[in-house]
Amino acid sequence: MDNVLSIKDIRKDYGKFHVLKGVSLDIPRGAIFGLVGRNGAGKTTLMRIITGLAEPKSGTYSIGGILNTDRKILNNRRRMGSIIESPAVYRNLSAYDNIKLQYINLGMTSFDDIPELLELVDLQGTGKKKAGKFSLGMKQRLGIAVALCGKPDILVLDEPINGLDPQGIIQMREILLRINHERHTTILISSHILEELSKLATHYAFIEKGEILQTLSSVELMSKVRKASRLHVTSTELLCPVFDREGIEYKVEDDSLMDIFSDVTASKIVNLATSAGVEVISIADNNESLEGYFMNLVAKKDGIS
Amino acid sequence: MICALKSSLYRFVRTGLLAKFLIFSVIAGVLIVFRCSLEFLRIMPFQTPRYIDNEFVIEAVMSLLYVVPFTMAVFSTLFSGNEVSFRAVNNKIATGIPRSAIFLSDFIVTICSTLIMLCIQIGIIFAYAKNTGVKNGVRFNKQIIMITVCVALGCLAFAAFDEFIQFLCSNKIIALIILLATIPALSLGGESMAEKLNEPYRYSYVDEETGETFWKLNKSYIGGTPRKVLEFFSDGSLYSYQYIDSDDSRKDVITVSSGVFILSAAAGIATIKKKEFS
Repeated sequence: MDNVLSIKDIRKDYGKFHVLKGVSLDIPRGAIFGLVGRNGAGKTTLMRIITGLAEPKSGTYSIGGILNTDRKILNNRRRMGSIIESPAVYRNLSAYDNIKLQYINLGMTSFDDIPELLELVDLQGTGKKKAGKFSLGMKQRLGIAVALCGKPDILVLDEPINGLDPQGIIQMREILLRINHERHTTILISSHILEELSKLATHYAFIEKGEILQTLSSVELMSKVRKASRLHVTSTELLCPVFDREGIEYKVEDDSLMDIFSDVTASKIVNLATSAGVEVISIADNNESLEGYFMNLVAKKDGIS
Repeated sequence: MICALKSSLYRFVRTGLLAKFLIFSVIAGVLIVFRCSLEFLRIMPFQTPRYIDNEFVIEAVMSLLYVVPFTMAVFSTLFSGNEVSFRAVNNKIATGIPRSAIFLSDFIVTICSTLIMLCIQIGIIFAYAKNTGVKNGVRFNKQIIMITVCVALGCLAFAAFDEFIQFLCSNKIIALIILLATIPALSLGGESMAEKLNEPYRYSYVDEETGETFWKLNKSYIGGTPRKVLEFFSDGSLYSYQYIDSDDSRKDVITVSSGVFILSAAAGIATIKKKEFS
């Protein structure tokens, strides 16, 4: 699989603060690449650099094989659409005019595709309504439409579902999946809402304090996340010594809930609980979430450093 | 560059800014003429004579030094300020349009708009001055033409400075406050410089007992190189009004205005090239 975007050892400082400490990433063509990190981890700075809004201190990146140090990069930037932090649209223009303006920026002379683009992001009925009067969800979708002008190879989206209501999040997810499937557009997306990201991404990169902790595909992630069973019992306190004795790995949530990470059968759990005088109310699958996986990664890094 | 310019022009038209700007230019031009007419024609009841001459034209043209910079400060905020504040400039950068082209396209539209406004308002002033049905002593001589050129260049320098500040500040309201404050600051600065230059080298005082007259050096007098520098800026200031009568002062105004224009354009390009947009 070829890479539509390659990042090599990018570093960026703001004063004495090292925001990016040698970030390297390869974004495969056709992927939905989730960039996962906490606030201040360097996600937005990295995206600002690859979209040309900021300059790296050192390191390079290439879009479609052209290095950022090459003047031809300006042409290749046309192959990239982006939304950084919030949609950059003219609030005093309609959705149609905003898109047409981006067409003009790209040097396009035919505007026949605009209705199709408006329909893709479900803004076809907005008419002359100014973007300033749009809801946040509509503005985000307009931002996506503007980013999609010229059918780019890659979309760079920084927190595109921030502030959206549940319906808006679902709508945005459907649009992004459609863009990826129908237009084969590669998407680099960051989000705080990791559960939502896990419904989209085919690849992940975990970033913390300006460093990439790990990159992996969603298949690899699924094989790595810890499988767990959520146990609902009458007393976790009485059960813990029994599990400790048996060498079963667990995590207590509260007086009646606990997660068991070891590969233990349900009947063995029930037997052990009965021997401890504890009643089992329910057992259910509770595999580790993307959030949990990320937090474990961060905890390991903090432990090392 | 062509794409960026087309984009700026499209936005200028589609946002309705062009229409509003033209309407405002005409209304402001008429109001300038009306205000000056009150003074020169004495059209208020029971006041005579009803007569205008070159003084009327000079007064009206000089009024543009307040009207045009004020208007262009607001215009640049609504045009370039919006582009930076709405972060729509990010779309242009991410599209691969060279940063200098982004600045220059907005700069060209703003400068052309300033010229349009100047043409409209000067046109209204000249047309009224020549065609008013009263005793008319208006003669379009070299003095009027040169003053008009100085005022026009000054307004263009203001417009160029407006664009530089809009791209320097990420917040359009802060940019607008800076720009609006610049106008009275330069006006007061011009007066202050003139006051300092008018300080006498020495002054006399009379001893009350002997009745003898003595001379004392004035400590506030500025001499030497500082005086030459101050004279240059005072003569070059649009608000010094010395260039109404002095050819040398007009040259200084043209030099300073052209300098501000070129420096603002250069500073604007340097700013956008270095600026990290959020």
